[in-house]
Amino acid sequence: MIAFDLALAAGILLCAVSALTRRDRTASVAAFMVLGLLVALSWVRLAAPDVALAEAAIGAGLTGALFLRAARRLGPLRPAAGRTLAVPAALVASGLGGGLAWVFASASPPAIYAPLVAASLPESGVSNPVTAVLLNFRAWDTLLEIAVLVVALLVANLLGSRRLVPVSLGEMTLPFARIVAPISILLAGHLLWQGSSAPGGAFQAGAVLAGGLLALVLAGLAPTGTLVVRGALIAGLSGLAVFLIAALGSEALTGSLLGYPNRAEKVWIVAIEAALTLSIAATLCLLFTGFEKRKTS
Amino acid sequence: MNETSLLVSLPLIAALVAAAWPRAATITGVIATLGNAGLAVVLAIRIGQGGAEAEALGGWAAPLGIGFAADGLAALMLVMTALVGLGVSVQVAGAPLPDAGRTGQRTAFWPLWLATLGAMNALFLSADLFNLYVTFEILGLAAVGLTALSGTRTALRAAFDYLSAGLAGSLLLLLGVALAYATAGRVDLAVVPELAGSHEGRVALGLIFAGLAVKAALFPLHFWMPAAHSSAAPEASALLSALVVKAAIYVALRLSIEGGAAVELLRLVLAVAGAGAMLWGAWHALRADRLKLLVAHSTVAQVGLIALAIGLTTGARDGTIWRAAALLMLSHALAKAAMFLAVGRITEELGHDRISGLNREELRPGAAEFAFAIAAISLIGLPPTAGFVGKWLLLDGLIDRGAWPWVALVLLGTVLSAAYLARVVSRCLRGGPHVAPGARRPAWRAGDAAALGLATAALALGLASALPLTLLDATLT
Repeated sequence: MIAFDLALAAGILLCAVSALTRRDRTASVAAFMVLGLLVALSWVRLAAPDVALAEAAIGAGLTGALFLRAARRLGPLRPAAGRTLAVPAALVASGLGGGLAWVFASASPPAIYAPLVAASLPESGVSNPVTAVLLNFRAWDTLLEIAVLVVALLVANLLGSRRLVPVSLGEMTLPFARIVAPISILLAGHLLWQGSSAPGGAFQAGAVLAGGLLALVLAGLAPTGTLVVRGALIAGLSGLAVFLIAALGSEALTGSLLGYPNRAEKVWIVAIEAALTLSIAATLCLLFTGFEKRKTS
Repeated sequence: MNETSLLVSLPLIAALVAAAWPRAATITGVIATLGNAGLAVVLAIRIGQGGAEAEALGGWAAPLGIGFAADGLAALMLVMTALVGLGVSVQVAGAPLPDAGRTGQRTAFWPLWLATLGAMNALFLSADLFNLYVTFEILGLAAVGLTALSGTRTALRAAFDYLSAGLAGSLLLLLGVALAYATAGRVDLAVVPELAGSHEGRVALGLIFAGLAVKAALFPLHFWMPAAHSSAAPEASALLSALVVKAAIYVALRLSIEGGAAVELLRLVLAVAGAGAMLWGAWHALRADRLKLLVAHSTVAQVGLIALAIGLTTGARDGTIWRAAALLMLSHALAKAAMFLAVGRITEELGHDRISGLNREELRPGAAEFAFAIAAISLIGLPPTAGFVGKWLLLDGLIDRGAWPWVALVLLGTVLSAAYLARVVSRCLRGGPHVAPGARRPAWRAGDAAALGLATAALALGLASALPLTLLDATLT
């Protein structure tokens, strides 16, 4: 396996260099997406399948899609003026990176957190420790992260990103979208439900669902009225709303913010995650398609 | 229901309502800001009387779960945020921002401000390093939105620079938190003394402080800030300069108090950078030709003064100096918000914000100029303002320790701040032969009331400084 790991590490470095040095934005983004997939693979090798799923779906997939869309709007890359800075910047970055790697390698973490999680897992309502941390022990972090997504949506809306007008991509697009969209719904449902006992959860499910929705949008199958965009915006906001109401509701029931009632933890967690899945999918989709109708034509 | 839970959740709920229903945004925003102020005051009174409170969210005690620590310092910051928020909300409710952004939404301010408010409240209450990082993410993005709100080309560029600087700061912060976890195996705030004891832990704290320095625009990492704060709409600048910058300073103060004597080197760096910021900001404020740029550079200088005070904090329990830092934060927040709102009004009346053009014969000075002058008095630190009490405590602590070079630096910073603010105030206080007999008075606007109210609060807090100082006694150390 050591050969595979070495090849993986070399591939990651190669993709990073390629993404940074390409003179063509699309090629850069493509290298970045391959980088994301390789990093996801390395997470698998590090025995962190949850992170691997998230990295593949969000890091490589949706971020890449957003980059491609931005690259299209920005147009071709102009010859960079600051080329002379590249060498010093590379030196500083590798010095910093090397120093940090050394410090991280020399740190020997005492096993505090994992045993605590393992000890409290039976009371958390779910058997996947990652979900237990994200939706129960440290649910407040997750709530605030959803708020970050909401603010990102608001800022994108404020800046008035133009709405995507799909062009015809050839005759295979339609059948492709018709197959991918239902599969993505099934897969998202599976990931969502599986999250309570195995790798999966709202972020991964939401990203997969958003992928299916985008396939529909790009095939021209999705409705594009102003009302639809508004509905999608409200769906994007609704996840945080449900999470906040659940937080205050649980406090009313148990006296502790985000302290779910005894023995009903799983119901609360899955309900919150279901709302988050829909809202994350709507948010990611809107960030890609944009809000504002094109002024002319 | 507990006040802390409501303080962190109600602003976010209101932000969602305001975003989903733009027509009701103004009324939602005003009600939420008022409610938040009430909750903050109730919590502060309870803590002032009953002492600090701690809460484990979801019933999961740290380090497994996340804790809230509502102590005197946190309560003071909550009240500060609520007061500044009230002032700015009055201004925006009275005069909605003109064509905000590109979509022409006149109400886009409210969801962004309410998200900022929720994130600030969550940040002040949090007792967990990773949770603090997440609140900074909300705060940073919302601040980018607030900067871009005026929709002009320069504002958009400044917002993008803000985003880049903020991301760099976040990255440093996140690296530091990750290293803290790799070193100590936990990320609650109680781990800070332990971190300060090991080599890797000190690197982690150094990374966190570097990230905070970028976010607080501490010299020499302040490069993004004057442009962002001077090209945003005045209401947004007031929030950015008075509040958002304070979030990072607050965490630095909190970490210094928790870390105690063990983070000596970091604090020394902080103090030296603070002194540099004081001189650099003052120098640029002296040379600025536009009013907003002067006020923005004065924020660089004032952040430097506060960083200097935090850097010179010795012990947690005894020192007067960290109290001075907290009071300086409070007075700077009120005075700077008043100043930006006043500048907004002056610009509106004059049609420009060039300092050389402030002497106009046909326009009498109005309430905005008056508010600016009071705020300037507080920023310089003249009695009886809150700024005076803060500076007095700082100098008192330094003289007790015999730290004469630092005393000299603080005094030099004070003289410089008096010099650059006098450039404006002397022109505002004109009268007699300079003003033509038929000169008109500027009309009253909500913004005048907001600026005057905030400036008066900075003045009154100097007279009633026993209140914040008693509150600070109830700080967990």
